[in-house]
Amino acid sequence: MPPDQIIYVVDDDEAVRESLQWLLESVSLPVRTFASAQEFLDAYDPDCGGCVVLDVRMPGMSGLEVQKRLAEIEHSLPVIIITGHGDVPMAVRALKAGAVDFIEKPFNDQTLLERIYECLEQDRARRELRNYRRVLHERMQHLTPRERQVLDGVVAGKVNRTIADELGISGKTVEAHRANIIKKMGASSLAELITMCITMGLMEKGQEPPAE
Amino acid sequence: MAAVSLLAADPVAARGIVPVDVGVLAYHGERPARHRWQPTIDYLDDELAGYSFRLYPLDLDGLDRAVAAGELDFVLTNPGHYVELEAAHGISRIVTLKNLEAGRPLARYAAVIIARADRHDIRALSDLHGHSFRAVAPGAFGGFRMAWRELAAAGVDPFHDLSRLEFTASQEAIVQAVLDGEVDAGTVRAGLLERLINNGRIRRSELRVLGARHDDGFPYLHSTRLYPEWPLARTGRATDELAEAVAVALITMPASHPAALQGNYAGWTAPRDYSPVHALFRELRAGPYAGLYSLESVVSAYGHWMAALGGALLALLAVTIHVFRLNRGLKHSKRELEREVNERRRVQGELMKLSSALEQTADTVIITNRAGIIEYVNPAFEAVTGYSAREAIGRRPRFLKSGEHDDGFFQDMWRTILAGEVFHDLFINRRKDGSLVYEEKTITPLKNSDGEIVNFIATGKDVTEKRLAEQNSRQHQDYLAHVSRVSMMGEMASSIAHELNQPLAAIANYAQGCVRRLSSNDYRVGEIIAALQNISQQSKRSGEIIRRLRSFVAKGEPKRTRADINEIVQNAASLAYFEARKKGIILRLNLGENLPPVHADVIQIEQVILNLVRNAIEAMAKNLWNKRELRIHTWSLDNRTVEVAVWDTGHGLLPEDQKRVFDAFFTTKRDGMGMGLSISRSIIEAHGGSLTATNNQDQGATFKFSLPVLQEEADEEDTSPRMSHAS
Repeated sequence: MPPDQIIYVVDDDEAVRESLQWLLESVSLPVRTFASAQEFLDAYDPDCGGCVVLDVRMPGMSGLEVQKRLAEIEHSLPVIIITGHGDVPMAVRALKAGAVDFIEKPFNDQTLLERIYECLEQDRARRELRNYRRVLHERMQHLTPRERQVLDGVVAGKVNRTIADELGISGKTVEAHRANIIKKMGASSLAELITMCITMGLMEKGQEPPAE
Repeated sequence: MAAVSLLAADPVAARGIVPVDVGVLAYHGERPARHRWQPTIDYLDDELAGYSFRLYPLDLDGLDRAVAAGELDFVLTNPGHYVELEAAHGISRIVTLKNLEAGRPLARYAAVIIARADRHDIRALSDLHGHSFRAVAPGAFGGFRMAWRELAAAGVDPFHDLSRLEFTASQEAIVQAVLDGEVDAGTVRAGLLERLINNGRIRRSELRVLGARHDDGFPYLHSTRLYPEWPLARTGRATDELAEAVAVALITMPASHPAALQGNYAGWTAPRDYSPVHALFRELRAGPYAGLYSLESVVSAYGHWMAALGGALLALLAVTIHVFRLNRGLKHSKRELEREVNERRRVQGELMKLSSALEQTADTVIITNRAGIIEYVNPAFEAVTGYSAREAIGRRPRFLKSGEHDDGFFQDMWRTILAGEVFHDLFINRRKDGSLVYEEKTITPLKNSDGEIVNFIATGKDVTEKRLAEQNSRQHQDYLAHVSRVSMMGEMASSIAHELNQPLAAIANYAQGCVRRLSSNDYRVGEIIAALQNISQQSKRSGEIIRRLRSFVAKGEPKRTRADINEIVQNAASLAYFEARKKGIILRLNLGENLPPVHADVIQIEQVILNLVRNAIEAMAKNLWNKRELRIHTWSLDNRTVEVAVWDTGHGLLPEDQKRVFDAFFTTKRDGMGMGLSISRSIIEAHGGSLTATNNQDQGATFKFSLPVLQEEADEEDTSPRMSHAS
C-alpha cells in the first residue's frame, strides 16, 4: 500500500467513526477521522491521495455539501457517501455530484472494502495520469518555437508537405524537427507521440493523422 | 266591658299559666282591630313561655274603664289617649310602633289638612273661618286633635269659628268628601294621600295642603307638627319582668315577621318622647290639662295668693332640680337598657342566622361529641350521603368510610383534632347507595370555657362533580397527549431508524474488523477485547434508544413525580437530536445549574420540549444558507418557577399567527395536525405553568414555558443525594 493514500472518514458519530477506523485498520488501510465536514476541509491537502468516506447527514455542513466543495477543488478525491437510510433522491444527487458510491449503514464489510479499494485504485490511476501529464508538459517546455509549430501541425493532422509549405521550410527540415520532437518528448515512435498528445489533451482520440 | 269581667273565671289561670290581657284601641270596631293585632298577640304568646296573651279591642271609653278597673296589663292606643291614661292611671309606655302608612317604617306621624285645589278662597289655615271641616272623631289624635292644635294656632277655634264641624270614621271618605265639595276642608293622617295617589285613586293636583310643613326625615305631606306613633304601655298590673320581656320580644321582632305584615307595621322601637303630645294638650287645655286656666286669669283672680305661691315656687324649684337629676339618671339607665336590648337583639339575630345557615347551607355539617358519636347532621348531609339524620345520629362517622384512605389518614386526623387543631383534607366517603363522594372537609374541635374539647364539628363541601369533571378532562387531555406522542413518533420514524442504525453500524464494523484480524492471525488480544467492549457498549446504546421510545409512547397512567428539569430536557434532546441531525441543525443545551426540582409528568414535559424542538427544526428547514442553530436554555429566576426556552434561527412567527399558534388545528405546516402546540400548552397549564411564543430580535423565534417549583416539606432523604449529584 503506498503511504500517500489515506482513507478520510468524516462522521459526527464517534462510535461509527471509530468502528470504521477499526475495520479499515484491520486490513491495514491508513485512516484519518474527522468529526465534522469543516474539520475535514480545513485539514484537506489536495496533494495527498486516498478517498473520503462521508456520512451524508451531519450537523453544520452535510455530506452532500462537502462533496460539492470537493468537486470545486481540482484533483479531488473520490467520495463514498454512507447513509443510515438510503433514499433514492439523495443517492441520485450524490452520484450526480460525482460520488463514486453510495453505501447504506450498517455495511457489509466486503462491499465497503471493495468500494474503498476501487476508489483507491481510481485515485491512484488519476494521480498517475496527472503526474504523467505534468511530466509531458514539462518536456514540452524544452521544444523550440519551431518544433512547437511543427508539433501543432502534427496535432492538427497535417502531412509533412503541408506543414513544410505552411512554415516555408523544406520537407526534410520538417522530418528533422519531428525526429527531435519525438526524442525530446521521450517517445519511441510517432504513434507514441500521438498518444502523448491525446493524454495531454492536445487532441481528441480518433483524430490521429494518417500514417505516412 | 263584658269580655274583661269574665277574666276572673279564666281556665288558663287555673293551669298555672299567667294570663296577660292587652287592650287595644279599636276605633273602627272590634273586627278590624282583631284582624290587625291578633297575630302580634299570638307572637307574644309564642315568645313568652308561661304567659297566655289575650287581645281586647275596646273603644276609648272602654279602654278608660278597663284600665281604671285594673283589668288590663297592657294598653295599645293612640298617643293622645296614652297621655291621658298616663296622667289618670300612671300607665307607662314600653315601646313605640313603627308604622307603615305608605310603605315606609316611621315611628312618628302627623296629620294633613286639605282643601280642593280650585278653592281659591281657601289657601291657608286661617282662611278656614266660616267654612265646613271634617275629621275622624273628637277623641281621635291623628284624626282630629293634631289638626285642632294647628287650627287654634292659626286663630281658628274649630268649635266656634267653623261653619260646620263634622266627624266621619273613614279617612278615605273625608278625602272624597273634600274632593266632592261636600265639605270645604278636612284632616286625615299623613301618608294616606300618598297611598291614594300611588293607587291612582286621586291626583295630587286636585288637592291643596293647608299649612304645609317640612320636617327632615318625614316623607309625607303634612300640616301638623310630628308626634310619636302609638305606644304600647304597661299598666300597674303588669310586673316589671313581664313588661321587660314584652319589650324585648317586640323590639326584636323582625320587620318581615308575619305579625308585622298583618299589622301593617315594621316592628317596634324603644319608646319615643311623648312630650310633643303633652305640649298639644297644654295648648288646647284638653286631655290631662282640661280645666286648667291661663296664667293671666289665675293672676287676676288669685292675686292675694301670689306671695304664698312665690314661696311654694321656690320649694317647687328645689324639687324640680331634684327631679331633673333623677331624670338624668333615668335617661342614663334608659340608654343602658336600650343598648342592652340592641345587643340582645343582635345576638338573637346572629343565632337565628347561624341556625338557619346551618340548616340551609349546601355544605354538609356533622356535629359529634368528644367520643365521635354523631349528635347532629344537617339537611345537606342527608342530601349528599343519602343517610337520614335518624340513621346517622348516635353512630360514628366511620359508617361512611369508603376504604379509599389508609389507616394513617384517620390516625393523622384524630391526632390533629384531639390536639385541639383544625383538620382539613379531601375525604372520599361512600354514600348510602355505594357510590363515592369527594368532600373537602374541615373538622374543628369545639372547646368549653375550661378549654376541654366537647364537640367536633365537621363541615364538608361536596366536590365530587368537580373531581369527576377534572378527571374526565385530565383523561381526555392525557389521551390527546398520548395520541400526539404516538403520531410524533410516527413522523420521526425515519430519524429514529437512522439513529438506531448508528450503533448497529458501529457494532457491525467492530465485529467484522475482529473477524478479519482474528482470521489473519495478526492481532493483539488487547485490541480485540477493546473492540468487543465497544460492541457491548453500542448494543446498550441501541437498547437505550428503544427503551426511551417505548417509554415515550407507552400508554401508562400519567403520573407526576419529583423531577429535575435538566434531566427532562436532556431526555427530550436525545430524541430531538435525531431530527436535528437529519436536518443538519446544531442543537445546543444551555442548562442552569442547581435548579430546584419540579413536580411533573416527565414524559409529558419531554413531549412538550420535543414538540417545540421539532417545530423549531421545521422552521429552520428552509433556511438553507443562514446559521441553523437550536438552543434549549433552562434557568430559574426566583426559585418559584423553572423556565425552559427553545430558541431557533428559523423564519419566526408572522404577526397574525402569533396569537393563534396555540389554537388547536392551527398549523402553518403542510403535513401537521396542528395539535402539537395546543396540546403542549394544555400540558403546561395543567402543570400550573404557562407557554408563550415570541419572535427573536434578529432571527427566529423563542418558545418559552415555566413550571412551578415543587413545594416540598423538608424531606432531606430525597434532596441530599440530588444535591451531591448536582455538585
